[in-house]
Amino acid sequence: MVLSGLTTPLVILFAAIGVFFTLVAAVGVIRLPDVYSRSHAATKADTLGAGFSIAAAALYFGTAGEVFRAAVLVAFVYYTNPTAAHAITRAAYSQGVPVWTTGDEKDGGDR
Amino acid sequence: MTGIVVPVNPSRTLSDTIAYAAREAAATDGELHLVRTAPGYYVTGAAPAEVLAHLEESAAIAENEVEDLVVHTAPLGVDVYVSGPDEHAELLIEYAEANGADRVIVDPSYSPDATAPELYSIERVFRGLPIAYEHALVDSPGRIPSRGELIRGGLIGAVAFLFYIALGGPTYPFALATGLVTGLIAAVVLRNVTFESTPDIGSGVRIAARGVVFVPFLLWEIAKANVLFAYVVLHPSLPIEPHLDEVEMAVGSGLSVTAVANAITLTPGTLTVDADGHHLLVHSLNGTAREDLLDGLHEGAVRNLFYGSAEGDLPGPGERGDYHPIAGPAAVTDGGESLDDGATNERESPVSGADSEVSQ
Repeated sequence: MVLSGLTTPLVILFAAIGVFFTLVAAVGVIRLPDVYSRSHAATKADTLGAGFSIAAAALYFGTAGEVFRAAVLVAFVYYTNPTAAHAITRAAYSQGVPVWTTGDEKDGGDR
Repeated sequence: MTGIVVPVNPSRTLSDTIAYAAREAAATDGELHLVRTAPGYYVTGAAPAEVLAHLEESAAIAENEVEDLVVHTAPLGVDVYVSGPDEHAELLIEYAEANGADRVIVDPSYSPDATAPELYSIERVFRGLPIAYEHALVDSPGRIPSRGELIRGGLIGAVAFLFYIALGGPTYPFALATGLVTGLIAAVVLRNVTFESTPDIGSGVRIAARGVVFVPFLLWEIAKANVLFAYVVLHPSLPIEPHLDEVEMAVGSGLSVTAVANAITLTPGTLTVDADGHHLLVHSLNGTAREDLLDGLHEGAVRNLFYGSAEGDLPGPGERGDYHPIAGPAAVTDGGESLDDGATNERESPVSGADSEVSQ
């Protein structure tokens, strides 16, 4: 697939945005205080990260079949992400993991 | 006084069930109560005309079977949201207790609005409740699939086949053949699992049309909230203010509850931790995200999607008082401990059943 003049910068832009939000997710997992707020980061800053990365891939390949597969991929990421977040935090909650709130010591939430 | 409660819902064995219950009631010198639980979104307090008409028809069957039988009919749950067999069963039990009925006779093919008795049947709920329930002794409907099953199976098969073809290539005969087989298997296996109630083509098309507005709206909210989330996470002082609230969502049926729960989780800043019927346990990362939630941002959008714009215009859960803080900064729980059970909140708890679960 030969890239036209406009596609290359767009692919780069989308990939960069995707990488940025995925990085934010990783930073969030490290910085946030408890399992609930970390779960926000782990499963969701990803939605935009994965969305843009897949959009970049779809643009790069450009054929109708690939674009359709990319759209399906995004749809499944969007369906499964909330489910995973829900499963993890639900398990934590039923195990009685306390919720970190302002005023608690940072890092004290999930020990 | 004795009485028999029969939950009615259109099915092929319903008239036999009613006739059987009428004879039983006459034999024990009791009264017959025919009730129908509403599928959960008639907040107006009045049952739709079709529900009332169906109850009238049911009563006529009983009166034809046994003369001089006292037959009561009642729509149940017209002013609350019910989802899941346990909430339907609760309504039945409440009604039975209030009206001095001591038996429940269930149509063997009865299922409330959920058409997946294989997954979670109302019998399973009744087994744990202090009431005598039994199946009506009627001829089993046999193996002939009902019209509803055919519609549901047909839709599933069509969607599965089209999806298969879209991935496999529409010009490849082998994919067409295997796609047909796959669609058929999906249709047979999932006909009673996939849908909650037999979809009505008209409302399905309307929902799909509204989805054209809903999906971009959701994507926009996701994008917006992601940027805010990135700001919060990358900010040196990490300005978060987590809350955990139990929120009662004004939606019926499992599908719309799932849609709200997933919309909440997909928008960064809010996360659905647990769901019990339409009570959602939501963790929010900061005040802004929580305000959006309590303003009914997600709920309103989903109500719009499923019930149309006329129904979408409802004050958010915050304004209705349909929420119940469980954890959050002291200021929110009205000066209480941050991990208080929320009883000190100015709003009275909107929940009863879920209280035990959410307490520490």
